[in-house]
Amino acid sequence: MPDSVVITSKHENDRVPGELPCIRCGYCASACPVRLQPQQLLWHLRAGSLERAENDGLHACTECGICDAVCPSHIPLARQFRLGKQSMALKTALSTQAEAARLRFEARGQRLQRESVERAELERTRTQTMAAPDAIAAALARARAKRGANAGEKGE
Amino acid sequence: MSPPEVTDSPHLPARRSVREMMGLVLLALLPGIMASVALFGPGVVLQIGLATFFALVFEGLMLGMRGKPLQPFISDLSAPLTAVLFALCLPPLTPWWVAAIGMAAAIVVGKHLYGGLGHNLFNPAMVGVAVVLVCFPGEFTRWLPPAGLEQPFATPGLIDSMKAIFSGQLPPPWAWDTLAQATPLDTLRTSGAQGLMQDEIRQQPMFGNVGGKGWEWIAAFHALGGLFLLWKKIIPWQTPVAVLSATVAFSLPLWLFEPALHPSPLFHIFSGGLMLAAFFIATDPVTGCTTARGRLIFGFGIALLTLLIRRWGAYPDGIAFAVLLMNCAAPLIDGLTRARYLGEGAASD
Repeated sequence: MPDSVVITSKHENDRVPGELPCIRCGYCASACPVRLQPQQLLWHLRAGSLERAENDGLHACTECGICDAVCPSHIPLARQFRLGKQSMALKTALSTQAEAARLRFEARGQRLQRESVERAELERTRTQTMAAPDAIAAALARARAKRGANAGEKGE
Repeated sequence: MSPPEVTDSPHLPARRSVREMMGLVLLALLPGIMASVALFGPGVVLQIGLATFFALVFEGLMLGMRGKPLQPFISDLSAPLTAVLFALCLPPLTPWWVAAIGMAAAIVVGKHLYGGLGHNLFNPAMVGVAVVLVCFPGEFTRWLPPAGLEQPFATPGLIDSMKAIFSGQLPPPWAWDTLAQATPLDTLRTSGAQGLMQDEIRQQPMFGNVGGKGWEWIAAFHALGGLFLLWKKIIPWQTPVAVLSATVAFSLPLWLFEPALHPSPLFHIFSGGLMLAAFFIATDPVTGCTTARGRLIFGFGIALLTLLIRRWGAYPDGIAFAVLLMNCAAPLIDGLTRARYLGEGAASD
């Protein structure tokens, strides 16, 4: 949702002149309703230092565009800050995603480890049971008992 | 009816342009320039013309070499402003090549090698002044006596000034020995070194009511131009207020304590380039501080360094060096003095 809407006549858009380098006059800073330092934010963003811009309050920018209107160098400041905020959001989203993926990966590793331990344990008990001298007799007894129980159930 | 066209910001045309700002600063320099011309003759205008010419030539040359468009950058008036500020620091009959070398240092090295308008770390005009002051100190001893002093000679006229500037030699009957005069700050320094007391020094005819005779008027007219810029909100109030009040704050106790040894705060303010610096040089937005508190610190630093250089330095006036030294510190000061933005430090959602 935009925080402000500006409605202009068509020809007013044509009068936005070309951009010159920032001369750090600070008009934007004295005009900013949330008391940001747009000239410093622009400095950091153009230097590719998103963290420093964020540290200086990039997220607090409401994109009202007052800085645009007072800038003697006609720099599209609000647009830069919107782009900056978008790349910051993208960066946050990507890092959240990466964090989730990392957690999933670690959980999977733990599960695989646990399963392999359990399988080994099962294997070991089975081998032990099979290796016992009366294994066959015991198995037969178990089978007989089962069959007897089944017959008993049917008989009732 | 067609649906409204939705465009990205900016939506409104800006109220001001860089050219308008620079133009107003140049306009505000006019009173001071006219006072200088009235006191030092047409040489002042010739220096301004020469410096502006060389500034524009070097600006064009560098823009061409850097592959930048000529029109928007030549017409932003920043190069002529640099030239005028530089020229006002030169003695009026300085040979033409001093302006050429100064502008080469200012525009080529100080400005474009750092990335052009908006990217220079140092104030270009002061880079130019510092370079020629260090390289050709002799030329800076040739200040003229302000008109109106009891002098056997008047100021050289236009033709003689041109001859002096372009040939490097004074046309007869002028002679440097009789024409050139030390500046009030120079005299103060040498007389002070000879052990003269302040009131004895101030007895000399070159001293006026508060500063040097004539010089104090130039300073006053620069202040007038500066007030115009303050009124137009072209320059922030913090910088000139900090420079001037710090000058008073640092020099007043010494003067009250030992008035025979230390010049008065008003003398400091109305001498040399301090007034020009307070309103026109320290207020350069590119090389100064951009935070409110930073500007105060920046101005304080310039005043303190200027006074230190005037007292102990090898040069009579240290404005250029003070400004350049504070330029180095400006980015750090800006980083340390950022004000809190709305909602900063509040619990985030």
